[in-house]
Amino acid sequence: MAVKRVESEKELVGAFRKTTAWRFITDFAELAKRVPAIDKISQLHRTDTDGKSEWFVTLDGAPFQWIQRESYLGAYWRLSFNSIGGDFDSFSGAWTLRDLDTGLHVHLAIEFELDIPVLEFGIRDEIKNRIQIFCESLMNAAVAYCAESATDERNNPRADIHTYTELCINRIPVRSMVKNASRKGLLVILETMPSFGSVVTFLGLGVRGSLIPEVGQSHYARVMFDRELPQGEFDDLCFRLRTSSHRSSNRIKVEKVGECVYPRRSVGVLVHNISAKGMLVSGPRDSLGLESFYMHGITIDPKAIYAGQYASSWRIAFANDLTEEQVAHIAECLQKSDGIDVKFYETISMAPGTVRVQHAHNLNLIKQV
Amino acid sequence: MASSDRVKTALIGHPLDALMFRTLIQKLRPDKTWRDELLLKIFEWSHSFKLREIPDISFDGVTTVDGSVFMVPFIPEMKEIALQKVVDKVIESLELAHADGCSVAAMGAFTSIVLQGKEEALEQQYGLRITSGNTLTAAAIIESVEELTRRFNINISETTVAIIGASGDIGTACACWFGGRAKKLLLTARGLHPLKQMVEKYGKYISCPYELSSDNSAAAKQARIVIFVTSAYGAIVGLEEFSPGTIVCDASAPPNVRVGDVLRPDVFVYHGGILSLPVDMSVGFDLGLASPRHFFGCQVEGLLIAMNPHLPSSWGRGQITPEKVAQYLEVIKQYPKLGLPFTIGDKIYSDLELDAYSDVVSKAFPRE
Repeated sequence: MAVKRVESEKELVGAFRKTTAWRFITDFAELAKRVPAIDKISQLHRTDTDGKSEWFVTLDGAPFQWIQRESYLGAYWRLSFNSIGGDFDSFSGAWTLRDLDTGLHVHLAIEFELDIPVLEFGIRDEIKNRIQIFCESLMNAAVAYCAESATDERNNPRADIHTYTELCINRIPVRSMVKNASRKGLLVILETMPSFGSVVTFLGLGVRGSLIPEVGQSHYARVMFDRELPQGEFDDLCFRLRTSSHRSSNRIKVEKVGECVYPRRSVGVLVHNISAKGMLVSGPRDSLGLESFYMHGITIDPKAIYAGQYASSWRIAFANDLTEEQVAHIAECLQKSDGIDVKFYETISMAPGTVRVQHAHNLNLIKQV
Repeated sequence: MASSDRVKTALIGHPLDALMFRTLIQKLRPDKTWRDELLLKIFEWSHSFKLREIPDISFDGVTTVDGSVFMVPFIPEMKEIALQKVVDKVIESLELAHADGCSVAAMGAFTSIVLQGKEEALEQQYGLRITSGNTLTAAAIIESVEELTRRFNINISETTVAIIGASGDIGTACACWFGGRAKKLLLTARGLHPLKQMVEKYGKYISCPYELSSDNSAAAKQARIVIFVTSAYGAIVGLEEFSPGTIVCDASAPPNVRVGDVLRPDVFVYHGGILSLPVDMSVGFDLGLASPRHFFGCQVEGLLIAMNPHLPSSWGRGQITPEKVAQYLEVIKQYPKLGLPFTIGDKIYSDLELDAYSDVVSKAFPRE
């Protein structure tokens, strides 16, 4: 019997996310729960990029079994699989996800070969037809999951947080920007991305979850709570996230362009605010460094640079706290400078990210000394 | 070499049991081990298909016919399969036979049973002569039993004969034949009603006393000659259950008598309804017979009809009369190279072994 191919594809019109579909097709436990033909999937091995699993599937009363290797190409939104043993001579294929103007395109193709002697004369397309039905049941489950997740979003609306908090990821405290929260989880921005499935707890809060990096969006990750929070507990969580932002000093709002003068270069940045412990700037990350720099005559020693909540925004944490006088001096000098001010920034602002790109491009903020 | 102007016979059948099918698959794909549940289900999904051709079949060197072997993907172990699906598969095999240019279709094992009542319409639809082969099978059983009574010096008129599955076509033919010859008949079937109907209809042939029962084991223990012709899906009696000196003719497919690795020296058991031929009949897989030159009587009947178009077909319930059986017994005699072998599985009893059994069997059974 030659290799036969079946496929199924669906266009999901509306606000469907690739991340949601990806989460489903890579979660074999969820897949097994939702596809009646799947009796069991044993995950034998799993990393961020590959995996190995054993499948037990009953198609129209016929119990099939196979072991497959998976390759997770998150950057291309593609999960491919290839059998390495079992009833089929070969069983391979791929899920692919693609954004459309109108929504999301999900495609699943399966190629298989099952060479049972003698039956090659009589089997015709009987196996293929059943694999086609299986393929479609997988697709329908993916579509249903995406639709439910969309419904779920409406049922569990996100609350904007936009504050820093300290997450405990695999028992290590990590400062993170919490973008939003729902009763099921958080969207966070991290400077460095821990591995998939890392255990997350909040220091001082009795909530646990696991970390799922948002594929295709560096620094972004979802923290999926291990239970859905009751509304009262969720309200309390939001209150505490908003009011216990990981700050220890007052910030002075600036919104002016300034220069970070390093020993061999000068980097123009838009300074959003400054405090004794750090400053929030927008500018090219590659040009910012951890070596000491001057700003309006004050020496600053960076301890770390964290991703801010918007693209190209960075929080520079100081190794040594500035005095109140030093903070006030820098803020005052910046506010008196000739750099673009916040009024202009606001008047041309259709979308914050767009404006900042214009800053960098039009005002040539990066100057080599 | 097959010739386009020769009569062609479709030999239609199915594996007798899952073991036969699995053995075939394992032989062809030794690198794979599929579970029975999977193999049987995929076999159930399959359509009927032509397995191979057997050209140049001649029993006398004068008349030659061709054969085409068609597989109906069915096994008695498929307990959940709908009857209509089996019927559809058998009809599909007739379509294929018609397209292949066959003019006779010999229906083996269950393929003839599921078509009962539809034969005439299907003959007209596909221009085929359809036969269940039951007349020749009955003739082969009868002739082999009579041959054994001669060899073992048993007077059949002093002997009780049990026919297990007596309400079926072949069972009825055997009952009618031995009903005028044996001392007593023990006739069994799953239900007594069809048995009563049978003896009422064919009472003129059954002149000896008879008992009707559904207790196969009891009948098997009491009779000296026991003939199995049921449509049961497997073994129903163990060899150990027979009284010493019993002759057991198991003509059911799959066999009804459970035989272990060692045969009993005091009970002679063989597979009935089988003929030996002067040509190889390799159908493409192991039929569980002694050699490629041994073949089922039901299929040989189709070949004989192709060679002798005047011979009657076997179909329709209760159409196998002693007269038709006698007609086929005469035909067998016209072909000296056709034999009635005594075999069980792949074992062929030699004359020496038959003589040894004769000594034991003729003395072992208590005098009736």
